[in-house]
Amino acid sequence: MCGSKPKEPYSAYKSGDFNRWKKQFDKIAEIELAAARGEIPQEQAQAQIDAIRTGRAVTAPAPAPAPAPAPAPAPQSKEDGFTPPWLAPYLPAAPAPAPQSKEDGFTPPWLVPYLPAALGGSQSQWQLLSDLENKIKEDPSAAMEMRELMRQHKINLGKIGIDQAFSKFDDDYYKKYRDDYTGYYFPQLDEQYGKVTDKMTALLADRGILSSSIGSNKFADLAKEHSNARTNISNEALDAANKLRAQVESAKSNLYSLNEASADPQAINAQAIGQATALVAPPTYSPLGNIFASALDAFGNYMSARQNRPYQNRSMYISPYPTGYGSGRVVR
Amino acid sequence: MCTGLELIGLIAGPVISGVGAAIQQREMARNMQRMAEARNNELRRTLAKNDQLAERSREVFEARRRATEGQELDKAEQESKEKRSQELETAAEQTPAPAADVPLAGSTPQVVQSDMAKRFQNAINQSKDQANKLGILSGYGDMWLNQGFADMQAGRDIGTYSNFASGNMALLPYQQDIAEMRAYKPISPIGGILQGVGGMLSSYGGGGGLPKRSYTSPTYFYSNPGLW
Repeated sequence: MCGSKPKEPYSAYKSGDFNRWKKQFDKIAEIELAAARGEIPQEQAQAQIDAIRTGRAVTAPAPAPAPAPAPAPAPQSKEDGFTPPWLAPYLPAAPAPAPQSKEDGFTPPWLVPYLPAALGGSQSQWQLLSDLENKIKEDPSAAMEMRELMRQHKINLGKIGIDQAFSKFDDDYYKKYRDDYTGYYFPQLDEQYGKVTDKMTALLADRGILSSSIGSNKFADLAKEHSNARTNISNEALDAANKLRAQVESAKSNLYSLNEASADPQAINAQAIGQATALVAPPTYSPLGNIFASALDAFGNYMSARQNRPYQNRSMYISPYPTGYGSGRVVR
Repeated sequence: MCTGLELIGLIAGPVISGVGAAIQQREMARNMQRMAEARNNELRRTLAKNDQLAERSREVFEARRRATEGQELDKAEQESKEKRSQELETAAEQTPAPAADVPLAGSTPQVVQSDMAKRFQNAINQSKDQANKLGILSGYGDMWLNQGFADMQAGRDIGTYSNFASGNMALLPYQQDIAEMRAYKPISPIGGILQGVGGMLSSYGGGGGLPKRSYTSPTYFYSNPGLW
């Protein structure tokens, strides 16, 4: 009508709908985060969320208490009229009626903190969350904020999922990795050491210096080399574990970025598990080289020199490789 | 001839017109003020939300900064060195005893056997010493690697808060526009009406009163020359 005041558009902020929705949403978010962290079982969390979302336990007026089930073998109740008055004081007291809810007449104790009174609203203020959400969507500004809050909550959920998927990469995991690393190289080293010790024993015994200071020195040098090699392998194991840890952290960072970009916790959880599984597969390792090669060098040189030495009492060189009998002469 | 009414019209017209314009201007100014206030309110609301996020980010950063203060850093360095040295020394210590692998003859004099054992022990001790030094040397790298990991975690947490703050800020221009549109109130017609009335009065005064009831076209006189 001409001159009538234009109708003011709906504002979720002014009407208080947004605050009501946020209060319920915060509560649900809290439960979901607690469930994601494993602080409460999923089923229990879902039941609590359903109760908040639907307001099932509180929307209907509280029904009249159901009659308490009488125990089967119990004696006749007082109301029946068959109980003699003198017996009444000796009869067991009737069980107290359980608190009731809409459907089954029972409100689980864990639901009590999430009832409207606990949430700070009266029953008349209590509305279904989905109704509130639909109502808030009429206000574009509040709808945007609602979606942003939901996005942020999903990111928080995804973050917890990532942290949990990567929680297995703890100190124990890296210690096991180091043990596996040394477990691969130490036996090879010990085997080589055993073989070189045998060879050196044979060589020293052959020359009759096994029980001499030279022999002792040689064995001591060999033992030191062995010990140093073990130290180096352990050091490399620590470096390799650090490298692996850096890879794990890098993968975690990537997932955090993806989580923030996608804000879809379920997809991120799947990727986190995939990444964490892929990281478990170790890289390839080359077998140990010949650590004690130099230990027998002196003896090798000795043998070589001995083989190539000039014949005794002869000045000229004679090849150690016989060419057979026969004659030859030089033709000028 | 100028009558009293015409004089009143001449004076009152511009006054009423001016009052009408002033009313209109004031309403427009109020509208602008309301719109600016609505925009500012949205800005304040967003900044309040982001202040909380900034506070959490600062907490993460402060915790990280405290962990890198002189004493804490020295402690972390010492721990890294000790950890690696200990691990390497253990590896050196656990070297199988070499004496067991050397088959000495039974007739070997005791002095030779004890000399050999002494030399072995010296060799292992030297190796342990070397392992200890290697551990100390590598400990520096370990410490900074750990610091890097801690920085990375702090960066990830702060990055999440930053993402939330960016999300809030991204909504701001739209929320401001919506708030501005809602704050705008149509200007009342009073100012315009007064301006119109003022104009009419001015016209009345300037035109020598109300328009005449009859109007004689000059062509009438041309067609009736006797009238002139």
